[in-house]
Amino acid sequence: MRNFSQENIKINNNSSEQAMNFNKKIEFQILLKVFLAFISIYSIVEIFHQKATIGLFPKEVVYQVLGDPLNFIPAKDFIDIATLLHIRLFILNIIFLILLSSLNKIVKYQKYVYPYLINFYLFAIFEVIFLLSLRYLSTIFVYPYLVSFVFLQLSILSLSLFLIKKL
Amino acid sequence: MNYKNISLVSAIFIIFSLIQVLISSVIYFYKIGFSYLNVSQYFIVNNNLISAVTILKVLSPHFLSQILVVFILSHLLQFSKVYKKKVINRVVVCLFFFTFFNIIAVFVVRFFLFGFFYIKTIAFLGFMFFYFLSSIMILKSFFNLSQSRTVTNLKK
Repeated sequence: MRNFSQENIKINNNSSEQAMNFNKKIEFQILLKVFLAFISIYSIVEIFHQKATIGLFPKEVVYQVLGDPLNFIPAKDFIDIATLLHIRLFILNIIFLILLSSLNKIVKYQKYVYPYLINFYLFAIFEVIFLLSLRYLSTIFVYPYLVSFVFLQLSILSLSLFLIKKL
Repeated sequence: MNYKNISLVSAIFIIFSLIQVLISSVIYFYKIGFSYLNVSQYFIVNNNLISAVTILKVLSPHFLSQILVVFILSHLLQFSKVYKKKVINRVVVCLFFFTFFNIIAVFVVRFFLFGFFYIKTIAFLGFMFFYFLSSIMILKSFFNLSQSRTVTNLKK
C-alpha cells in the first residue's frame, strides 16, 4: 500500500514537473501571447461596440436608456437591461478569471494580483449598479457609469499588454 | 504560483457567476415563467407555434457559455478534499446532464413532446439546483482549505 502511494506521489511529481516545464516552453508562451493579444483587441472593439449600441457620451447613453418621450421612443425595460447585464457579466467574469490566473502564474510579485482583482470586480459591480441607477433613479449616474465602463476596458487592456510584455 | 491567490480568484469567480445566474433566473421568470400557462404562452405566440429560428437564436449562445461555465465549475470541484470522489463525480454528472437537458428542453417540447410544458420548468430548476450545489461545495472547500492552512501555520 505504501509503495503504491509512493509511486503515485512520484507520478504526480513527474506530471507537475512536466506541467511546470511546459509553462516555460516557447510554444506555451506564444499561445498565451496570441490569446492575450486577442483579449486586448476585444477590449478596444468593445468600446466601439458600446459606441454603436448604448453610446460613449452622456447624452447618447441617456437617450438610449431613458428614451425620448417627445419623439415617442420608449425607455429600456428592466428585462432589456437585465439581458444586457447578463451577457456583459458573463464575458467579464471569464476574462477576469483568465487574466488574473495568468497574472498569478507569470508575475513573480504576487501582490500585483490583489489590486487588479479588487479593481476588476469593483468596477464591474459599479457598472451594474450605476446602469440600474441611471434607469430608475437619476440621469446624474450616467457619468459614473461611463467612467466605470471606460476604466474597466482600459484596465483589461493594460493588464493584457503588461502580461504580453512580461512573458 | 501562489495557490492562495488562485483559490481567492476562483472563489470570487464563483460568487460573480452566482450573481449572473440570479440575473438569468430573473430573465427566465419574466420571459418564460414557472407556471403551466406561462410556459405554454412562451411556445404559442399569437396562435402560432414558436419557430425553430427563434429557438436556435437563444439556444446557440447558451450552448457555448453554459458548457464553458459548467466545465470550469466541475474542474474546480475536482480539487475539493472535503467531499468524497464518489459524491463529486455524481454531482458533476448531474450538473452536465441538467445543463444539456435545460438547453435542449425547449427544442424537445416544441418538436417531440408538445404539451409537456413542465419539462422545461423541471430542466431549469434541476440545472439551478445543481449549479448552486456545486458552487456552494467549491466555496466550502476553499473555505476549509484556507482554515486548515491557517491552523497549520499557527501550529508551526
